[in-house]
Parts: sequence; structure tokens; C-alpha cells
Amino acid sequence: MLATFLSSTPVLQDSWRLCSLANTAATVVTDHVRGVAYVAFPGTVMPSGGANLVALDAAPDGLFPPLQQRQHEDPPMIHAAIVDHFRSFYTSTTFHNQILAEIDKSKAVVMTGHSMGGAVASLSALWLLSYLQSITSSLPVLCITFGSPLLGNDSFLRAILRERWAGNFCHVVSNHDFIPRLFLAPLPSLSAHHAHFVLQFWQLLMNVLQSDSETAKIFGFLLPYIQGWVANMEEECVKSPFSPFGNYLFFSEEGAVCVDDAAAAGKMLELMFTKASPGSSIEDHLKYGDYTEKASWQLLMRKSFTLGEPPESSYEAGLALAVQSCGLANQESISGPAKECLKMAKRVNRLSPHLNAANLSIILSKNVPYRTQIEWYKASCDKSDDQMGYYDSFKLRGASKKGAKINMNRCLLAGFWDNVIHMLESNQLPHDFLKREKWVNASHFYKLLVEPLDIADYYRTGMHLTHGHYLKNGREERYEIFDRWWKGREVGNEENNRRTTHASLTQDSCFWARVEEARDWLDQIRSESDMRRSAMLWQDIENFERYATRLVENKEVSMDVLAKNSSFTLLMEELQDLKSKSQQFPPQFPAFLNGEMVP
Amino acid sequence: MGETVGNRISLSEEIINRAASQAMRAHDSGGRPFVLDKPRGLSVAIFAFAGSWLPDDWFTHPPFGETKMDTSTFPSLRSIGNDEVAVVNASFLRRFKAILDQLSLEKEVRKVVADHKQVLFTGHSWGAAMAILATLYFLEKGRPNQKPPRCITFGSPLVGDRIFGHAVRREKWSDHFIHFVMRFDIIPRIMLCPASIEHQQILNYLNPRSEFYGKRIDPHLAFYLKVMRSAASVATHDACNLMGCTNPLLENLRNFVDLSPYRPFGTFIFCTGNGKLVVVKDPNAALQMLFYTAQLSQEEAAEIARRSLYEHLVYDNELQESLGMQNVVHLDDSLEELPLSSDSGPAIVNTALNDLGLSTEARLCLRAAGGLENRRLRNQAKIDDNKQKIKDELSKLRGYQEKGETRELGYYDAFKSQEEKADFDANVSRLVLAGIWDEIIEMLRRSELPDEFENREELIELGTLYRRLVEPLDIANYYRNLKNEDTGTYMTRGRPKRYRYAQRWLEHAENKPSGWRSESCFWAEVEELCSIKTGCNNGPLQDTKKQKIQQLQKRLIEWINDGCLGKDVVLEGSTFVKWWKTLPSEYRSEPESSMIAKLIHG
Repeated sequence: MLATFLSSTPVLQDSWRLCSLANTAATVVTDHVRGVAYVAFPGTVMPSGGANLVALDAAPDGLFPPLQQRQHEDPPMIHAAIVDHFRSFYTSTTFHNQILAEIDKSKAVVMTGHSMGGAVASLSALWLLSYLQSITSSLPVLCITFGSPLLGNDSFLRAILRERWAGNFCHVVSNHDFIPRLFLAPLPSLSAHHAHFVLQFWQLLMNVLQSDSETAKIFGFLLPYIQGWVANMEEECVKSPFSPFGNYLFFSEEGAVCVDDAAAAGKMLELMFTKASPGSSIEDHLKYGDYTEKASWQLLMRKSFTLGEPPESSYEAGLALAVQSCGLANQESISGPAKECLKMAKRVNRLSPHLNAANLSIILSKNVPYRTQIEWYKASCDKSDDQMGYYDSFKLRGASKKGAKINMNRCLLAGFWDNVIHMLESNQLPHDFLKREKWVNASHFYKLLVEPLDIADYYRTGMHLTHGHYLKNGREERYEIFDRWWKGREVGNEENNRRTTHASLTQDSCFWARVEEARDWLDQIRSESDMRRSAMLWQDIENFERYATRLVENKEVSMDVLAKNSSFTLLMEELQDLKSKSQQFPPQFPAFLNGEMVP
Repeated sequence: MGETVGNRISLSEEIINRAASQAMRAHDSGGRPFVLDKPRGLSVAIFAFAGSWLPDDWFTHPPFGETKMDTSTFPSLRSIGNDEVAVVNASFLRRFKAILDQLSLEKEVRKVVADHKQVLFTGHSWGAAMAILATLYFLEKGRPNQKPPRCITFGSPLVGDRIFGHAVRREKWSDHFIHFVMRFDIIPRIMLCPASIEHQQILNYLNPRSEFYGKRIDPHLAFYLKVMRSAASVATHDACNLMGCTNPLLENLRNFVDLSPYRPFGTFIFCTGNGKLVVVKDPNAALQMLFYTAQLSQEEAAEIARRSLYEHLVYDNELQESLGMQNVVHLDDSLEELPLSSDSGPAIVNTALNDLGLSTEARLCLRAAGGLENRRLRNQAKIDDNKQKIKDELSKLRGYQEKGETRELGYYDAFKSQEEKADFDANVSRLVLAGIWDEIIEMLRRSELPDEFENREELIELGTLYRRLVEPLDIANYYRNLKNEDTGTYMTRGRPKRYRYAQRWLEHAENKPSGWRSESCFWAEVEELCSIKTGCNNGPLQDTKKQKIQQLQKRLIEWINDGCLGKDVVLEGSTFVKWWKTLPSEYRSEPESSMIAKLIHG
């Protein structure tokens, strides 16, 4: 049904029109249609290099900062030659200016390209999405590729899913087109002569697009290669390092289907190719114009079963219609697997995201009592006689039942929030989930309240001795994600009010981790004999002191920080003590006093 | 065969036929906006509106010429909780108001009502849009003991958006609107397509006073395809949602495509062209029918394009024939079990569906529409199951509130101090309730509940009870945790949607302006006023404060007398009383001040 919707809109035809312009001109072409900017990349420019993968440039100052590697996962990798090719566009200054100028005057941007141009369009769209994220713009971006080769590995796909960008990509694949399937065969088979063949192919493609008379000649030239490759493909298209990502829109003679599950898309690429001939596999790569035109006609025609009786259940009937749209209904050996495959694509998400979100509200309310108990704990620590605040009480807790209960709550809440993040990243929650104040606020409140306990536990169990300090090595990913949510929320303008009393929760949830680090530096100074080192330590401590004073003065810390026996108060006392001692022997700490190093 | 059309919509065939011929004749009314017909022997008075074929009267601006509904004339046409105003065609609204300004319509209607006759508005083509707005106008003004007006349209263009239809169904007015649609008629679909220059030619063709009336025109095929492609976009987009498509691409595409906002509402009766009538009320099903019944098949496209214009002009004859045959199928009862193939299921249903040219794909979409409605009913049943749970938690909190009074503190302040186990338990109850209500709100936001949901007395009552009892706790929690310093005042930044929705339900039910029922936010007002320092002599700030305090005192007395605010606010130990006692005398005004003093001590 989504495929029909896509075909009914002018977006596909407009994109293709521009793609063919870009192909003929062999440059980037832009256009404006009803306020939407279209940017098309030529598919006729030849890439250089073979088909190997390189790690994605996800450094903070790199091209795609959001697409970072996750723990326990392979790094996201993409096709080396294609990324080189993209760089050749990217590094030219006109490219930047051109695209940024288009953005300024448009309400939305479509990146598109045919063949190789499609792969470049995908990378450009990724770059644009990364850029827009960095300036917190929500300009809609859509990438439509026609017969684009596969681009990246499985981790690459997952990084895109995590950013929830899969809905920004739509790869159009016509019936037997072999380019999108090219990298489904394993790498060894794409050895020297295949890479050579690919080069040749792209080179010749340009000519084909310019004159039809060349076509016959090229077929003659390419046929043997393709035959060999097809044979290869049938045998070993199981373990390719490449994985599809985003949506795939498959065109057949009978209609179109849209698949968003990567595994299902890979399988469909394979299944629809089974009846391909070398001739049709080249021809289909060039016939996207015909396919889009035809699809916009087909949707005006009544669609019923051509074969026999439809199944009674809507679900089965819908599947059968989809199989028919793939043009596979007549082929018994394939229609079975194709049906399973489309079923898989449908099953990924049976419950609608909105209902998931509604259910989550209920689960949240069940989990909030755990949080409330922790609040209660904090309040009772504030009032208790040992005046330590909840951070230290928790860190130094004995075998008390209360402490164990709080620790249990801490773990339960962590589980709950990890699940929320998982649901969000696997696209089970609505698109605008993070625009809902309720969830952003709840996660923020949770972070402020519970992260100090995590820090306490980290230092209590001595993890910092084996793993290093919390801030760099122990912080759970979810807190960083919550930081991003909080930063990305819509901010009102009443933020700058001065606080009149201390905050109920310290506004920097990592405050205690910084205290622990400062404490560590202080201990080191005492035993440090190297002047240079100790001067550096003093600098760090001074920075911390400035930071802490600012927080306290702005009343952004909660009362428990300033409790008489809290480790922060003790630390500050010790610091003053040490300072006054050091002032008695000024020469010992020149750097601290002068603010710069003495040679 | 069972029921006749007339029975089903409780209007006799005679009246329908009369309305059809009046609707066509109104076009020749010589410049008058409507003609009034009081047929002898029938208990109705028929107001038939004339058409217009000026492009400006169809689309004011591209692409779709829509505007927000004028809520002062049509106060009900919005969603209550979500608080979105319905969208309507700007030209239609403008022209209808012009008719209204001439006053003759209102005068005539009043006369007919005084005669105890049923008012029936009707119209063909553009006139149908006027009839729809007129009916709504008088429904809004209607008094409970009056017979509500009825509306029958022939080949009507779509008038309003999804919220428009939602509001009509919520107010239970849907049955008052009957729309007859010929299978291929282009006008009921025309609003699904962005405005273009071709519209002018089409309108000339349909205009009986134009020299091009009924003449063959050249680009009509292109125009038909254009309308159908746009209709396909709208229909398939909605069908994706009906089938529970979760692909984010769908949402993203909305940014790149101009989709018409207009949607059908009321009861649609499709005429097959060979004497059969198919009745459908479900708005989603009606939309799918609008697209799929006019799909092409092997027949020549040009022939269908010709029919799409011609059929707009033959309603009176076609109906005379169809109503005589009484070959009627009602789809709504079995939408989800519609036969999928062209030769299974009940024969009457199937021949009718075949005559309308509904393919398997079309039937799947209709089933999905039926599925949505059933899902909504199931969701509502689920919420009804939770009612007891809500009541249980509320009674726990009620106990807590009563206990607070014995502590001479009131439950607001008791909760804010969080000193006893009972305070903690109350917090847990508050959170359990928040979860249940937030789920309801989430479903409303996603339109996953029946349209009448927000108009159910029981819900409004329960929501009000909940709001009055529990919102003070949310406010207490907000100010206890000093969230006002983190993010801003409770009223601007912190008030949860569940209370805003519940308040709007009550205000709508009582026909009160927005903000009228804010008694549950009393404590938030108090907290904010407390936080403004009395000492500093900051002129304008002090003045507004003074006003606010005096107003609060006035309303406090009203609320307490109404019983919608508990006496606990005036207990000796409450924040309010403590603060009130410190107020300098210039902030108090009589007689409120002494009344409050009496409340505190009495």
C-alpha cells in the first residue's frame, strides 16, 4: 500500500526527471518544485578503486558524527570507492554553497541519483542529516535512489536505524536490475576482473544514456561477464558483508512493493532476480523512467487476483496481493519464499508505535514508585543525623535493608529506561516521541536523581581502580542519550531566572563524579614530588573549584551536597586546609600561585 | 431486501425525490441564493441552494483553498481535548456567511420552525456545500426541544477536514447529513486535487448558463487522471495508516507531498448507475469508496472521463429510478467481513460491490476501515474496564484528603511536606492514576478512540472528579521539587495534558469559555502569588498582583460555594491561609475579605 502511495505522488517522477538530466549533463543538477529542492547526482561518473569496505568517518569533526560505533558492535563500514567518489563532490566548495543555498529557500530537500549517483546521493543525504542535527534543524530530507549499489555493512544499517533515519531513504529497484545486487555476491568473487568489469560497465553506461545505437554493442561486450556473475550469485549470495538499509521500493511488471526490513529487502533482491536474464538485468538498470511512468498508471487500474480465489483473511489476502505485485505469483517455487519474506517485513512491528507509547505510559507509572522511593530515601538522608546526603549514605551503606532496596530500585529503573531507548532506536515508538515533554522531563528527572547513585556504586565497588574514572569509563550510555534529549528539547525563554533557593536535585548529574576525581587529584598531590605534575594537578583542582563554586552560587546544587558531612564539604575543607599550608611555603607551588609554569 | 433507504434515513422517498428536483431547479433561481419549497401534503420545508461556477467560489488560493473554521459562528467544530480547530474550504465559508448576512435565510427558517415543520436543506454541486454549512449553522443554534434540521446533498464537493467530520460525529449530527454520489461523478472528488487552471473549463462545462455547458471539452481526460491521482494519494495514504503501517517513510513523505486536507463525513449513498444504492457511513470507508469506485478497468479511460462529468448532471433522473427499485445495500454493518472476491459472500452485497467496480484491493481497504472502527470500540471498552480502578484509587485519595483535614493542614500541604507514610502512598496513587489517564490522552491524540468518546457524560464526570482531587497533588509535587525554578510556572510549563483535557471536556459540555473551570489550579495560583515578593515597590507588577489577588479571592468564594473546591484550603495551617493573613489590607477587598475570614474561622 505504501508503494502505491509513493507511486501516486509526483515525487518519484520528479526525481527521475532530474536524475536523467544529471546523467546527461554529468554534473550535479538542482531544481525547485512546489517549494521542495531536488538535488540530483550524476550516475555516469566513473568510480575508481575496488569493492572493499572502509570504516565510516564518524569522528566528532568528521563527515557523519552521529553514526558512531557502539560497544560490542563492528564499526560501521562503507564502500571505499564510493566514499572516495563522494569526497570528490564534497571537497569542492561549490557543492557546499549549492546545497546550503538550496536549503535556505526550501521547505524540504530531496537528494536523488541513478546508479552510482544514487550511492552518492545516499552519502550526501547522510551528511546533510548529520549537519542538520548539529544545528538542530528539522528540515525534512528524503533520499531517493534508482538502481543504487549497496553501500555499507550491517553496523552501518544499525547506526542509521538508531538515528531513526531509515525513513529518509527510499531505494528504487526495478525488476531485474543487477547493480543493486552487485555486492550481494561475496567479495572474493569480485576480485580483479570483476572490479575491472564494473569499471567498464559504468564507463559504458554513459554512452548508452546518450545514444541507443550503442546499446547492442555493449550487450555483446557485457554478456559473458554477466552470465558468469549470475552463476556466481546463485551459488553464494549468502554471506555478503554488505547490507541494505532504508526502504526498498521494488518495481515489477505487475506493480510495486515497499519493504523496510533489511533482511527482507536482501532476500527480495535475491528472489526477484531468479528469473532474470543477462539482457533484462542490464536493460532494467536503464529503464527507471518507464517503470515510474507505468506505476503511476497501474494505480489507477483496478487490482484483483489474477490467479484463483483470494484467501479469506485480510492479512493473507494482502500478502498474496503483494506477491502478485512483485510479479512472482506465477512462479510457484519463488512465490512461497517471497510470501514468507514479505511476512517477515510486516512482522517487524505488529503493534503500532502510538499504542506502544500509550502502553509505555502505563509501565512508566508502574516504575515511578521505585523512583519515588529513592526520592524518599534522599529526603530521609537529608534529615538524618549523620548529615551525609544521599550520595555518601548510599556509597557507605552497610548491609542495611534500606540500602539494598534502593539499589534494587536503581537497577529496575535502569532496565526500564534501557528498554525505552531500545524501543525508540528500533523504531517502535512514534516519530515525535522526543518532542513530548513528559518523556524528556521524566528521563531528565530520573538522570538527576539516580545517576549520583550509579556514581556512588561505581566508586563503592572500586571500579575506578580497575577501569579508571567514572566520567570517562563508567558512564552508562543511557545518560549520554538523555543528555542529548534534554539538550534537543524545545526551550522556553524563561530559563534565565535566578534561583531563589537550592535546587531539589543537583542540576549536573555528574557532579559527584567530578568530586571523586578532584578527591583523587588531591590525594595525588600529597604524594607527588614532581613539580610539573603537581602544578598540573593544581590547575585541575582549581578548575574544579571554580566549577563547584559557580554551581553552589547559582544554587544549582541540592541541599545534600552542602550537608555537613558530605564528601563535597569534606573535600572543600581539606582543600582549604592544604591551600593554607601551601601558602606558608609559596615556592613549593609556583604554578598555582602565579597561574603559569615557572621554567 | 429488508429496509428501504427511506426507512433507514427516516425520510420518505417522496421527499428525497422532491429534494433532488428542487436542488436542480435552484440553479435557475435567478440570482437568489436559495429557493424555499413547502410541498403540500408533506411535513417538510425544503430550502434548496443554487450553485456557483466561478472558480473563486471553489478555491481561494492554491493548493487547496482551506481555512480554519470560524469558531464564533460554529463553536462545536473543533476537537475538544486536542483543541484543534476544524478546517473548511475558505470560499464556501465566505459565501455562506454572505448569504447569512442577508438575513432572509434565518427569517424563513424561523417561520418554518414556528409552523412545526421539518427543515430540510438541500443542494446540488456547489449548492450542496451551502446546504451543509446551513444545516450545521442551525444545528449549532438548535434548542433541545426543536426538531433538528436535515440535509440531503447531490454530488457535493468535500467541505471540511478530518476534525470537521470528527466534531460532527462527536455531536451525534452525522445522521442528519445524506450525500448522494454517482459512481463516476468528478465533483465529490474534486477537492482532493490541488487547484489548477483546468478547473475553469470543468466549471464552464457544468454551468448551465455557460456557452460551454455540456459541450465536449478537450483535456477532460488529463483532468480526470489528475484528480484521480490526487485522490489515490489521499486514499492510499489513509489506507496505509488504517492498516497500521509503521514505516517512518510514510510520515516523512508527508513533507514532500501536498495532500488534500478534505475528508468525507455524514452518510454517503453511492449510486451504481444501474439502479442500486450502496450506503456507507464510516468516513474512512467513504473516502476509499470515492477513489476506488472511479478506478479504471479495461474500459476506455476517455469514456470514463466523459462519464465523470456527465454523471454530475443526472442526479434527479437516476434517483427517481433507483429509489423506485429499492435495491439497497448497507455496508457499515459488516465492513470488516466484506467478501474479498467478486463471487463469494451474500449475493446482493457482492453484485452491488461489483457494480461499483470494487477490486480485491479496494475491499481490503474497506475492511481496514471497518477494522479501525472496531479497534476504537475495543480501546474504549478497555478504558471502561479501568474505570473501577480509577474509582478505587480516587477513593483512597479521598480518604487521604479527609485525613489531611484532621491534621489541620489540608492534604495539599500535607502532601507537599511528604512526612508520613500516608503521603508516600498518596504519591503512588497519584502516579498510578497518571498512567491510566495518560494512556487515554495518548489514544485521543492518535484518534484511537470512537468520535463520541469525549462527549460521554460518565467520562466528563470522572475526569472532573479526578482533576479536582488529584491536580492539587501534582501542583504540590511540582512546587515541592522546585520545578518552577527549573522550568517555569506550573500553569505555563508544568501542567500535565491530562488535566488540560479534562478541563476542556467539562467546559465544552457546559458551554463555557475556555479557562472557566480552572478551580483545580487554585494552588498553582496561590504558589505563584506567594513567590512574588510583597515588599519591593515595583509599580506595575504590584498592580497586576493586586488585581490577581482580588480576582482569586472572588473566585475562591464562588468555587467553595459551588462545592468544586474543598474546604481544606481554608484550614488554619494551609499555605493559603498563612499567606492570606500576611496580605496587607490594600490587597483585600470587601466583601470578599470578610467572607473568607468567616470561612477560615467557621
